[in-house]
Amino acid sequence: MHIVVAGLNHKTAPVEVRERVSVPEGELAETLAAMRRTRTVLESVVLSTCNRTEVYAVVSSSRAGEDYLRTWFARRGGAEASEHLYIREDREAARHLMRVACGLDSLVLGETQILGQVRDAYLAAADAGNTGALLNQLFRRAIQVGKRAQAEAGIGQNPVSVSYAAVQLVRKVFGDLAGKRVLVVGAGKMSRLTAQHLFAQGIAAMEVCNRTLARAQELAREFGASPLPWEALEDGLARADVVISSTGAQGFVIDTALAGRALARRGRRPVVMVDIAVPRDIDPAVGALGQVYLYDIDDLEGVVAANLAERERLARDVERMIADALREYGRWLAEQEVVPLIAAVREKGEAIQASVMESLARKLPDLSERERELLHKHTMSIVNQLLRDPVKNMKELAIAQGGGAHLEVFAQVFGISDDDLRRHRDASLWPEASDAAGGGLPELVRHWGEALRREGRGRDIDPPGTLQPAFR
Amino acid sequence: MATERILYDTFVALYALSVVLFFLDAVHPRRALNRTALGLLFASFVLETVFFLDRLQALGTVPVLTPFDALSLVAWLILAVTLVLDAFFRVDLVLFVANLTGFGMAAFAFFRPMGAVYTAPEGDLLYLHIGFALVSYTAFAFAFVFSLMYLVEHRLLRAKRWNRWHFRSPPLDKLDRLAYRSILLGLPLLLVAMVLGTIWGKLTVGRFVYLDPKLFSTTVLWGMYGISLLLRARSGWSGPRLVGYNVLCFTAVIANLLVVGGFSLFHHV
Repeated sequence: MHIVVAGLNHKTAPVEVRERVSVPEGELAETLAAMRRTRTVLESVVLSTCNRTEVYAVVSSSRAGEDYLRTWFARRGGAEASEHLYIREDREAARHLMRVACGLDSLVLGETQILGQVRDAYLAAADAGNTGALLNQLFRRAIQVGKRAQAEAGIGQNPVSVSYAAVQLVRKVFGDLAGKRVLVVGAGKMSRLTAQHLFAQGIAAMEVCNRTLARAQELAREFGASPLPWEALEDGLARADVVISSTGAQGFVIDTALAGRALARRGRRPVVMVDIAVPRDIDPAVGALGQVYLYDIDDLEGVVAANLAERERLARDVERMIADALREYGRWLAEQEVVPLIAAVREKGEAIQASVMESLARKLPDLSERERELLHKHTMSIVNQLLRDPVKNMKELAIAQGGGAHLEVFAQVFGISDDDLRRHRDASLWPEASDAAGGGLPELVRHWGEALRREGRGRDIDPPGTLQPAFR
Repeated sequence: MATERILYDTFVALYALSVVLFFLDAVHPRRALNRTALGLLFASFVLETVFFLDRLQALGTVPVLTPFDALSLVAWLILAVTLVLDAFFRVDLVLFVANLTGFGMAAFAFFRPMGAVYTAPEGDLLYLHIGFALVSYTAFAFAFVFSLMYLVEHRLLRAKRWNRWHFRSPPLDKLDRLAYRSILLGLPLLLVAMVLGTIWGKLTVGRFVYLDPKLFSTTVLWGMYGISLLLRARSGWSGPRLVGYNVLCFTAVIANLLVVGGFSLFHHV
């Protein structure tokens, strides 16, 4: 058995392909039901957002699973969809899901919305009965690590839009915005957007000042703010802790004389002025006045760039969290006694099939390559179909109470010896899983050393090529 | 004595290493560096606690009567407060700047004699007097830390430099409030220490000691911090000018602690 993910996203496929394969909410139940009916897929979750459509599946055979998923995507998106498809297996599939849940695979690095979408996709599949022990554990751990990425690393905290960057700067000065007064100069789109963000921060009062009073009144109504006539701009400036300016004026609307008079009336309390207008509304010389923190559009874009760089740095921390979560998941898999038993049963089935093929080759030496391939496919299909239900039942019973006793019976029924089981137990599912089984100080020192080395290597935490199939 | 010295030397070495790692983490943040620095800081705290207990046992009395002990105790208090704060809230940069200050004290203590240099008789009042004074100094040290952080962040915001200090620093308003509260805590504690010291002087010497330079300088210091609160409350002083004044006040604390004591009849701390 293997965990496989197949999908396409904003990086691999254009929107016209993505929209064809996406699964609308109304179609999800039927899609999941169709997957439940197939023999190849044992567990499945469909994640479909505007930027990606992915199917996570536990399949009995890697090749059959891959074929099934390729066909599924081709049916929805046509032959073109296959060209943009990516398929990952086992550890890489699990890692991919965790990166998706943490927002590391998103269009905007570290965005938080995807975590909710992953959770919704999982819950829908679980409710429909499409998930089992493997995907349940995997998705729970992925959601958990996604929450940690937000709460501990805080990857989504640094805003990456200009209007949010303005709020970030205001918060750097005032911290909590409760009780602060905001003056919006101009009633343009950017003013509205920034005012919206500030309003969400719980400001005490907002005034809107515009050359055309009617437009000021209109915007003020939207936020429950007070309109201010243009002549009262100085009064508004004197009262405000935060000034957002975005008029269409060609010259400075707030010059040093006006700002100086207003500031003199407000004592030594700091004021943050954000000038989003181009051409600028506020004379840059105002920034030199005491207690004024003045920022223009270039400054805000600088903040956004710095925030993006910071998110990239935090992404490295999140990658480490993912590596830890993967190690834990691998350990959990290794602990599932059913794994070596299933592997042994499958191996036995494959050995019988190989033996039958050899016998056929001897008895029918004139078979063409195509016929041999056809026979191989069909005999393998017999093995897969024969084992499908027993394997499924083994998994279910293994995690039920007294699962150990059931497993013994299964081993006897299929004639699996203790040596066979031991051999499969030793062949670790994911090499890292058994590594992490130790404890104590040496383990701590080893982890510490690894952490430092990993940091030295940057993002290359789990070099590819060290992976092994989850199940044989 | 040899055990104490080894303990203290190890403590200073670990403390130094921790502060260096915190500095590296501040310049180039790395989770592993931060965790290692925090671990070392905790180890330093444990070592210094063991050192104090050992010294308590060896002296048979609370070790606060020498310049060395007093400075070490202030460093220990800073360590304890920052570790507790960090356990509940992630104070991040505060942890670094506060312990940089704490390490400065511990390092200075490193070069001070360990033997008792007080010439006056000991007593419960004296311990209380020194204890209150040291806690107030610790509060002023925190006011200094928050003020310094305010000035750096203010400069960054004015210069529009969005570096890692900017990301990790608390908001200006919060730093201002924390500095204010630290002074608000330190001021009455210092007043209590002064009153207790005066009473102790009367009981020991038989008269009120008015002409001791330390008493005079401490009164001036108390007045300086008092003015800080007054400026804030009355004339609406706030922002960089006020926190700059707080930094100046702390240099007066250091001078009072390290320089003026040398001229005092009783104080050598």
